[in-house]
Amino acid sequence: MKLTVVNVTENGVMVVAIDGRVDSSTAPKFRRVLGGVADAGTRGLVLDLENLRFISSAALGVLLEVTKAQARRGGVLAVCSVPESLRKILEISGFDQIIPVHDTQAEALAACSR
Amino acid sequence: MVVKPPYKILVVDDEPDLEPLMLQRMRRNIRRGQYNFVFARNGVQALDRLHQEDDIDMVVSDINMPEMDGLTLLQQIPKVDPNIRSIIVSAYGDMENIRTAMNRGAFDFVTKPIDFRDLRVTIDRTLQHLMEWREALASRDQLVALQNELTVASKMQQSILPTHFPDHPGYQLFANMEPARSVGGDFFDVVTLENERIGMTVADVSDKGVPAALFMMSTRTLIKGAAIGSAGPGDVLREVNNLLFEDNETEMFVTVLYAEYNPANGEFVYASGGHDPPLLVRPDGSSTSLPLTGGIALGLLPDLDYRQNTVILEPGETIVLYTDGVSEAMTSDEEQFGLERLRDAVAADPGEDAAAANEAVFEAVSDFVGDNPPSDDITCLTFRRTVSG
Repeated sequence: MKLTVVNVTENGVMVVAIDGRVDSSTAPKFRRVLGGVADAGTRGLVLDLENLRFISSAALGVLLEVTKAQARRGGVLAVCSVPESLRKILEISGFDQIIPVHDTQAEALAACSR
Repeated sequence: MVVKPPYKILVVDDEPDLEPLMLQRMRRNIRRGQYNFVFARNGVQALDRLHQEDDIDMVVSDINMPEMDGLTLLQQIPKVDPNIRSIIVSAYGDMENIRTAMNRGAFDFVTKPIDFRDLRVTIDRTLQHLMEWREALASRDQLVALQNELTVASKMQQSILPTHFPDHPGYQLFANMEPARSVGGDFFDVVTLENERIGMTVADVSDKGVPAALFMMSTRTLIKGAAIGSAGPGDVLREVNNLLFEDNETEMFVTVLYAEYNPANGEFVYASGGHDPPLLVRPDGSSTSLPLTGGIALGLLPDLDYRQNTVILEPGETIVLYTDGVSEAMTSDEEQFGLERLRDAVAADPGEDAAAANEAVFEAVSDFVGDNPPSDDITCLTFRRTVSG
């Protein structure tokens, strides 16, 4: 698993790319890093999942935790470029009804900048 | 300290008729040296006995009693001995008391009027849990902390799984769970409902360890409680979701597929809370995933509605409920087992019973993954309407 900040826009939206696998062994690290990024005061957080190959349910729980933390401080979290297999997981678990899912980074940025 | 039978069970009820009735209905288990009953008429008497006799293994208690009721008794028992397990006897469908009892540490419940066969199964399951718990406690000192936690969690997980399935001319049902090396959070359950209907659950808790195992146990019990006297699977998930959300301070959640079958008309009604939909396999070997009902995983957000869907099962048709440990079982090349292989395993020999079909799934998954150790629990429940059913 690797997290890379790929872009920070003028109006304070951060784009983070998540690569590889987030499974039960890497979920605690995922929580620390992503929580840290969000706590740093980013109003909008876009997670680009194009190169994410696997996400465990514990890691989905982390996404939700950060989504709620963002909402509490008036920010947003969105995901984009979700591979088909992950999209299916988001759909079945109902997470796509909680976390905004966008096709492209541009669309996610536009939505978070509003 | 692992105690051998007979297990000493304290029955607490203000109804004097229960004592001879219990001794009569449980006489075989008493004669075989499995159970040894002692009695008390209210919570105060029960506590006295518990203080005087330190070999009582479990308590079966009524709720409404003079002097000290069952819910108050539940709070007092751990102060005498935290390793005593309790079963509460509640009015049919009384979710509020059942839930209070579970929050106060009851292990399980049965409803009135007491179905003694169900009580026997519940007592046995509680005793099995108790034995495993004591074993885990006994071996605790020999294990490093994490290992021990996972051992305890895995024993808790195993102890809530049913080992007996209903025997009915209209249908066959069998289920199994193979835990992953590092514990996952799968479980299944079967609950007998009114008018010969039957409820079945397959679920997957998002985390592992003891907190997840506790979450799992309360999910299972809440589903069982909500299913009795509910208006259907959608209703059950709505109620359980709200109850789980209230007590959930973590971001733990559980995906659940809960279904009910009515052998009188072949109606199979299901609702999903973030779980994979049921797979329908026909006698000719064709299959279809039933439509997703669109519900969100349980424990995350309050006041959600859960839709349910109804299909009529034809004689010989099979429903497979599974967790992603089956569909996403992976080879070392990251190829997934998938639904087609699942269907083929179930449909391979339509003459076989549900237990054999279910076993075939586990064999097929094991053959498929080869040397690649499973990273997630594998759970599969096979339900078949019999040809004559």
